Amino acid sequence: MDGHSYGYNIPISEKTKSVPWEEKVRVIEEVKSDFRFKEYIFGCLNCGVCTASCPSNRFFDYSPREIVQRFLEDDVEVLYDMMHEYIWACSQCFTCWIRCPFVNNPGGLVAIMREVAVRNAFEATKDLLKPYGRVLLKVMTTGNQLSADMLQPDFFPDWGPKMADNMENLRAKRMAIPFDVGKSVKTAWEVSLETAIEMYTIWRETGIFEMLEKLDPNLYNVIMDIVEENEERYQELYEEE
Amino acid sequence: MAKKVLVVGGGPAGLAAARALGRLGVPTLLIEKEEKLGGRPILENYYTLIPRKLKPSQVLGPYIKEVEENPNIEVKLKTELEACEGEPGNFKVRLSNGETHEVASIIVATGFQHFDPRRKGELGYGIYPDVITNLELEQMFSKEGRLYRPSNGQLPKRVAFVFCVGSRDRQLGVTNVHCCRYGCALSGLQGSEIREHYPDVDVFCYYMDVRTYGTWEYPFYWAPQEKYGVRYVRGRIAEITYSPADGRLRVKHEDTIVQRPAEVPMDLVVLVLGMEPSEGTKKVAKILGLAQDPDSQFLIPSEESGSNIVSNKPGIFIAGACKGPIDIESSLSEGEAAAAEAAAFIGAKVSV
Repeated sequence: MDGHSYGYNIPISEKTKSVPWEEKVRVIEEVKSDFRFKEYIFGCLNCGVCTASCPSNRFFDYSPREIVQRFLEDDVEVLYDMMHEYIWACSQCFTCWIRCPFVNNPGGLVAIMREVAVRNAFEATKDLLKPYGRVLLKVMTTGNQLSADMLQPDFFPDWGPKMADNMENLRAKRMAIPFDVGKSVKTAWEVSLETAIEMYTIWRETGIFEMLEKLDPNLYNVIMDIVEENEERYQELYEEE
Repeated sequence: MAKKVLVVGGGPAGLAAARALGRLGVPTLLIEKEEKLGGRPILENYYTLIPRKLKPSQVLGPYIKEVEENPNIEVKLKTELEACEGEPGNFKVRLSNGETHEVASIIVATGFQHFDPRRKGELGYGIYPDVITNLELEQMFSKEGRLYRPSNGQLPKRVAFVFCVGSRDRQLGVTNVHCCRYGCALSGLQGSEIREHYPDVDVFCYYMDVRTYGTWEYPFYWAPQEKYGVRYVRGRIAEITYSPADGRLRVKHEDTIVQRPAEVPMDLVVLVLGMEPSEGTKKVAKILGLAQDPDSQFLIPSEESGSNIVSNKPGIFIAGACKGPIDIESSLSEGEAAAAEAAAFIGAKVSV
């Protein structure tokens, strides 16, 4: 149908089994109509260099060659299903890209697929992104993705037993750093109000806020409170001048 | 009209062209930039030539002998072409030894060079001594007569051939997208030679496609497997590393047929080198204004002619590996074809 083939070697997960065919085609067409798509896939020798070089391939059911092949086969069923879990195993290191003899960019294809998955607010995407709520809050309000106060022993058990001690007196330790780190534990570096306002403008103009609203309405409300507060402060400062 | 033909390059194609012209009685000047005739197979001590499994001296020896002895042929070693003026049928060429000659026609047979595998850093050539080239393996056979690991001089237990190093690879730029044509067949032969002499050594060929075209299929793909037990694994080697724990190399690839990532120990890894136009080919192309492929830089034949010997410049003919990867027996044939073209161009008549 529509020149699209059906997948057969990968079982289609329960998550996407009941989704209508037309909807799957629409989503995959959205991926393929991205302006980057043509620069990311040219052809394939099926040599396996991407997958052999892929760090995620060692630990997860994820193969960049599989991504490229599914696009070349126009395998809508499998591609649509991959967008619900499979592609999130990619670590976006782009080793596949710098090794591919065709200079395909499987990691780039994954980036487009992820953006489309977020834009379409798939349930699976919501679940996958839940653990990143704190990072999203920090990034979208301050432009910092990590800060000292985010380092809590509960969240980083793999950092070892000494980590808990390091968390004590964070502020004092931070202040003792002999060069300028913004003297804050809430951000990794100082973010001026003007910079934050510029960033919010970018989020608004590029539809990032809308994307977030669909994905996580609660987080969206928390973030918008901070954004609006900062925008009011900026407005007041601007009017004073 | 000067009735002399200049042949540039003393490898298989140039030798065959000069020999054929000499036999036709055409005064011929053969120039070669190296110290002796024979081209890569002789200069670099190839062991056995595909497809007829003869030694370079068996194939090229008779050509060299006849070229050196035929009074119609003048050979100038350590000599390069520096400049060319005049028109077809009446070229004035200047050589690196300062001489100038008037020639009616020119045959370009300036050949190729091997790909430098240091450009593929992830394959570890020049870092790990047990990663060698297929050229070095030929020299190991031809000069030392035995197989060993350069790191410790011992016989390897497991040998891997890595196909398409410097071929079919756009990461190196548009210059290296072409296929080397000889690599699959030579690897099948080298693998068979190893298995024949050392039946306890396991040989693995890592390939994307095996291009033993035409009649090469049986002797260089099927026979290595069914007669000699060479194993073929489908997948391009992504990376070669070294494990100090056991002193062996690790080759990393995906077996793309069973879809399994693998990292396997090897004692000796042989890189199958691609072909690039030689420096001489690029230089001569500029001097003579010959058309080159915009990507690979190999010489390309005239668009108007169906013959692949005829260049874009009237009176100038191109033969052998200066036009792209080619095997030795085809190079010899092309040299002879170019000689026929040049003889016809200068109006040479065979006296009966």
